[in-house]
Amino acid sequence: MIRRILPFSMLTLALLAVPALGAPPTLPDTPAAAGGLLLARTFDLSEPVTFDWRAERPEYDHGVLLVIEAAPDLLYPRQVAEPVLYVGNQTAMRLNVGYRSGRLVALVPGDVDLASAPIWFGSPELPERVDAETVVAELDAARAAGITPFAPAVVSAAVSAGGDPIRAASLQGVLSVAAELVREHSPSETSRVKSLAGGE
Amino acid sequence: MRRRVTTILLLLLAVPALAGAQAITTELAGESLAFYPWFHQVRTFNGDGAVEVAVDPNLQPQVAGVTADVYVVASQASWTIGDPLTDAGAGADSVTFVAGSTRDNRFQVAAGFELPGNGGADLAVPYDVVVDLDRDGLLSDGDLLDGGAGEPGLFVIKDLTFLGPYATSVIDYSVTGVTPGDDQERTWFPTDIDNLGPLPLVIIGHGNGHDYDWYDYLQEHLASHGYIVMSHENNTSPGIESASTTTLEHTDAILGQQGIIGGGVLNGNIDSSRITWIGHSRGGEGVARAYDRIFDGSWSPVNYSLGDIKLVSSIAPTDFLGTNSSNPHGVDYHFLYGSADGDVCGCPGFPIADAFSIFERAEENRSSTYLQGADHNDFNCCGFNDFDGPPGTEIGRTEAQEVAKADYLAVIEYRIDGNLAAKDYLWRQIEDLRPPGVSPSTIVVHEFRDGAASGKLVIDDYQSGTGTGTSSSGGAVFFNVGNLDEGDLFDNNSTYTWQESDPFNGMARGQSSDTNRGVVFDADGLGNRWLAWEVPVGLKDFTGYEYLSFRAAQGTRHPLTDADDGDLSWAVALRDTQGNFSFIDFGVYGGGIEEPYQRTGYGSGAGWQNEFETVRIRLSDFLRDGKTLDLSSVRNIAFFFRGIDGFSVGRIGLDDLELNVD
Repeated sequence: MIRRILPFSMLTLALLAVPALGAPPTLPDTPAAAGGLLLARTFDLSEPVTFDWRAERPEYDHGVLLVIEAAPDLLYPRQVAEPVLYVGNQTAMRLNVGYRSGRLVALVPGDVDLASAPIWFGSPELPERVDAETVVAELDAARAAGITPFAPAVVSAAVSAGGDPIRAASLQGVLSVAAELVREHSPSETSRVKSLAGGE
Repeated sequence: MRRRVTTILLLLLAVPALAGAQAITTELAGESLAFYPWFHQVRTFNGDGAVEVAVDPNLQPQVAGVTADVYVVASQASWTIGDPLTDAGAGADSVTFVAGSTRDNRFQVAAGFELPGNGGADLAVPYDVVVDLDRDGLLSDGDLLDGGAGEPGLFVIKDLTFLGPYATSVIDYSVTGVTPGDDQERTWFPTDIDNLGPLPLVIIGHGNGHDYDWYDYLQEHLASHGYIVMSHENNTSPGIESASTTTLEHTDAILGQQGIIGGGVLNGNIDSSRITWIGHSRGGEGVARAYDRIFDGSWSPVNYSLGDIKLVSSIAPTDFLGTNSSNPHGVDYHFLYGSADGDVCGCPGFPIADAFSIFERAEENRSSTYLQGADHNDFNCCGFNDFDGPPGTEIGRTEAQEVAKADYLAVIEYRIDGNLAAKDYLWRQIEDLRPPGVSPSTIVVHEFRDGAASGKLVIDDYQSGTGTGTSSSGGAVFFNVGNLDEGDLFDNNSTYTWQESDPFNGMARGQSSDTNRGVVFDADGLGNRWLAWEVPVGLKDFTGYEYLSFRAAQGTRHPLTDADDGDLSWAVALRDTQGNFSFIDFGVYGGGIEEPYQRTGYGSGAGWQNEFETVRIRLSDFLRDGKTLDLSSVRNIAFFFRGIDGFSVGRIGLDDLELNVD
């Protein structure tokens, strides 16, 4: 049973989820805070894997899965640069699109302290080109814009919603869990669910 | 007995005569034109198109006053005197030639649909044309023959938008050894694959926020024509490097794991030496980057090599990585793009979204198809509608995909299979040759350029001899057109509003690090305006070439462009060393240089990026009707900016003036 903490209600999101017709929504101003944090679930991997979403391409063997809410224009899939999703001092790997649902499942590698780490969308860029120096600059900009971590109660509820840590032999084990999260939170993304689940 | 001996003697006597006899090989099949040169000799006809023949009585004076039978016959690899003639249509047509002009010696010899155009497994049916001057029903000494010299006289081709002859199957599966989370593939193939032999492989990589199961329309279409077409998950969200990695990995995976994919249905049936990569948007840049990584040696594939990638194609690609990284180098390259793309927009001052930049980097054989009124996601099934253009110009996904199906079938048939029947679709203007399944109102703009290996002769590509008075081939250049500038095809600001400080306005064709050059100038219509090249003495013999070609564009939002709506054409002239002239207004072939799509934004006015369009004129057209021009000794090529309807008015961009062998 997943409890939903909805600082950004589904009704609001539904109203914001504009019909996907006509020219793309204008790129929103950044930094922009995530609208909500619904779920956080840590994971551990038996073997480290490479994180493609940073210029340094670090390896990781643990991290956290998140479900966040965001305004649709931040999630609109673009071929040109999109706002990069940051969690504290790390970029996050987007696992679905989320434009229609307003909900995004993301993977953050390494240790993540959600009590101290703001979650926000930074300057448009390719994540694979974001390095440590960029992260620092983007974090400074976020803080200057007044973006703060979620309240402890929100974080606590999200962790509670996440449940037990995932222990997986490979990344696919984590992605399979992510597939279920996408199925629940962004149910129209059936192809993405299928591919995250490994074709099942 | 005596009679039999006599017959044998006659036959023996006839042998030497037959051995020395021959038909006259010449171009015959084509289409009538409203003005000089009166006839356009072409290679390919749609099934619904009439086939005509023409004979120039000045080049073949023996036909004047002769009534002959014209046969359109099944093509033969070679012809021998005495071969019987059997018309493939409704029967031979009797025609009478007269002295004078080609205009009076043009005849329809097959109505639309008269000639069978369904070649079964083949895309087109080849035919030869014979003008049987002695009307004996045989190929005789002196008859006129179009075909038989290694190439048919003409092709009648299927509608390229139609499914092909093969029933198809599709399988979804996952592969190993690729980026985790991006391991899915969907492959379409002919169901009877085991009996068709190894088939070329086409691989599709989607764009950001797209999915691998969004290209069924294209996969099924190509599979029905005999290709194995795999679409894979593409790791586009981190960026282009990651996307290119998935293309490289999935190519290896399908080749390396064909023994188990789909229960082994593909096993041994993939021709790994004939691979096409198609990518869309970020994936479109990804395929260029993937090629570059192997080219540079930074990636080593296991089950294929660089030479196995025969064709790379991008649909509306981004250009994040720029000149040195997103570069198709010398591989055959193809490009498809919509003018109403709301994402990879072709906006000025936004190089990442200037899709044409990668096309401009392709060094050798290349072609492009630019589709007015199509948006970014019209080329897949399910992406968001991001149309950004004038109301009433949106062509929609169904129509855009009709164009895409025909376009990809043509380019793959030509580049991968060497099918000459498909080539015409890549360079003839849409007003001249349109797949029947594409709406008559849909505007398509083609560029086509041969690589150096084709044996072409470049007169001026502006890459060297950069002064305005000298061509890249070393000859002098003369002109009285206004405001002529040579330089990079690069819009230097962030507006499409015309400004004198940005002479290459509208040329969203590269980044500042690219060095692709051309020329721009004004034809103001206030008098005879011209631009002429002196052909260097060592290059003056044009007889080894078939076509004179160039590419040209109208300069967007320029007052001279705005002053004259619609396609633009002008007279192209050749002058030999004896001072003889011949000129042709290329608009007579249909179409012309397209007016830029009337999209607004990025400044005042209407008009989006400049639309280069290739023009190819058959050199023999300059000789029509007794023109005394010596193609073995050409001194000048000249553009006179006036045409059939008067002065040609416009701001014009120009590049790649060259001679082509085919």
